[in-house]
Amino acid sequence: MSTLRTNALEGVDAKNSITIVAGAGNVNTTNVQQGLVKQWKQFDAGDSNAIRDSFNTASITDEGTGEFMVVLTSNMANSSYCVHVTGSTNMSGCIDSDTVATSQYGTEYDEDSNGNPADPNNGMSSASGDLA
Amino acid sequence: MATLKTNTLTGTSTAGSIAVTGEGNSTTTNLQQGLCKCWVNYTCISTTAERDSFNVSSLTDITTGQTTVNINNNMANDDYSGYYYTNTDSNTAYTNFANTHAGGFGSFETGLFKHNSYSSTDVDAFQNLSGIFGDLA
Repeated sequence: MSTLRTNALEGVDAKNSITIVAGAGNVNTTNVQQGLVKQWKQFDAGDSNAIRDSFNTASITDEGTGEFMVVLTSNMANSSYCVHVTGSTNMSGCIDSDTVATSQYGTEYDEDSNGNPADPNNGMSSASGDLA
Repeated sequence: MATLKTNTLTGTSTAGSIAVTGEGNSTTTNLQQGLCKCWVNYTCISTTAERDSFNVSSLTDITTGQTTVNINNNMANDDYSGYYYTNTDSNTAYTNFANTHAGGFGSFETGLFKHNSYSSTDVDAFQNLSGIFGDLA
């Protein structure tokens, strides 16, 4: 077994692009940068919106019942990135598409099948896309 | 193009931390923090069974519409993030996904997390798609 020890990785031809063999047949490649989520967090809206753990998350702003703005530490390159939003038991989550920017995105959590906004005890979201 | 062949990547200063240049060339992200630590695609129709997964040791059928995902290599804490999507229906068509369907994480532990698939009541669903992000133990 070989082990590469390094603190940083960058592409040779393009610093921002590294391919890695990842296919089941050991032939196809994927892109390391594109495959990494650029931000994630879990927070508790019932505890003053305390962030329990996170990556690349500067803060969370309370925008109203069930509505929270997620502010990024390192910005995205554009506002076309992908976001997952998931809440606590019996809740659904979605992105507020009107608020997506390179530095932040809005989320909404809805309670059960009524679709009424509600504050989650476990509010989770993550972002995939191009980092600035 | 240069090709580096290795089986394992380890940080030099910190074994569990390697920076990666981002797409815009102006910022770095973190390799370990950006990796999905566990994902699963499973059905709860007839029996609870995974179709495909990564770092999942088993699934436990708790009761109707509730499932435990048991993690193979544990997380460092129970504060990780994740996603869960369910169609809360036994049918397979995309039209069975609708805004009235909800799913969520019921609880978190370092070695497992629990889902519930909910549509007015907990429902066994054909489509259950989930993954988690956070610190591996």
